[in-house]
Amino acid sequence: MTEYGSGRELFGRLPRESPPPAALEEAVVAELRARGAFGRRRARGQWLPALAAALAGLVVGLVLAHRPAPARLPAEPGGVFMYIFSGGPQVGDGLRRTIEANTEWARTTLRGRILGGQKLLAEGARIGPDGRAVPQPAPRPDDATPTGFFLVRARDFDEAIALAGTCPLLEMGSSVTVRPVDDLRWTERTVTLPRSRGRDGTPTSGEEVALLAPPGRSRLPG
Amino acid sequence: MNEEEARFADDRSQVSRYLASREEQAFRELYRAHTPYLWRLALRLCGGRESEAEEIVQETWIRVSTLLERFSWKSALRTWMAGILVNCWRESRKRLRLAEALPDQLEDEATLPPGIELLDLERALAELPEASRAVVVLFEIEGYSHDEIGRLLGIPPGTSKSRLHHGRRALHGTLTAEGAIR
Repeated sequence: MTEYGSGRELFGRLPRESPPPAALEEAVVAELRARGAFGRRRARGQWLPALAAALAGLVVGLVLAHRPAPARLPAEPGGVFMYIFSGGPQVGDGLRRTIEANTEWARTTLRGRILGGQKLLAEGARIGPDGRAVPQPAPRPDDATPTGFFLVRARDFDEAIALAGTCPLLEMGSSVTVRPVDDLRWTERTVTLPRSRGRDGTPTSGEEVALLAPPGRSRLPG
Repeated sequence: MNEEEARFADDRSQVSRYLASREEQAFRELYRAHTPYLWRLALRLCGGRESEAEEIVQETWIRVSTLLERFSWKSALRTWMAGILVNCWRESRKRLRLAEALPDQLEDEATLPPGIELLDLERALAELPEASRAVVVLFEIEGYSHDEIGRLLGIPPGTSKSRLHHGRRALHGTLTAEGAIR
């Protein structure tokens, strides 16, 4: 018996299947339902009008394609919203309980919707017009300094608000600000510097440089 | 028709039914046929953490539902789904920043003796470091080759071998310490 053979023989006795939690099926089905995965497809004869509409849409799309417009998240139906948390317990057991409650909320109510999120640490600074960093006080239980955030996918603003209303932190003295995210999809692209950009007086008109820029902008504002 | 061919035919007809109707009930049948397998695999990859396994299985089904129309049937449906699940698991680990690095050097070959209680083995498996556990599960239980594991996990085949080696050695150590083997 080879050594690999002995391993596979041993592990081969382990079960390959086991019953999943009953609630999981309902959670999966509910999520797919919310995403519009279910529903009868069109009967064969109904495809012609749909095809015509699609072609018309394509023509309109080609015409509109000349107009620069920022691409927006998400690729899937719905939008992305930032939940900004503030206030509530900031230390000790209270803080631990808020973190636990929010984690559980994210795991259950927001399951499959969270795109990202973090707790923010107490240190912070605001950069003034002169470029200097002014240290900011640590968040207090009764102020609006952000203490953390979630990026959440929701059908629309109303649903994002309704979901935020179920946040357990609201009963623990925190508040949640909901802001829609406008994704500019900044990417590296070549831009043409405007006439007045040269710091040392060197004319820069027409100079092309690689910068991070939102879509649809081939020139910096002059 | 052998068992594998019969399953292949069943899978095809179930998928066709779902894609033709997009009915919830047809999806549920597909779900019930394959989730016990996906659940067990997710649970093992997650080291027994049920909440994490639930998220991974849910995400897997969401992706399966989107990609199913494009599935070409060049492999078994279950193998394809397992690949998606492993990807979901990897992404989840990246998000949680729990990915572990293990040395790539292959040392002496570690082996596991037969005759261990299955519960001991399952528990020892759950205690393995993330990176080794994934390779042990995919190689020993799911029967993937090191090349296939390399593609699934985005690691060279040599790394897969060394992680298997480390995993076996760690399993041996755990089982010995627990008195499951002497």
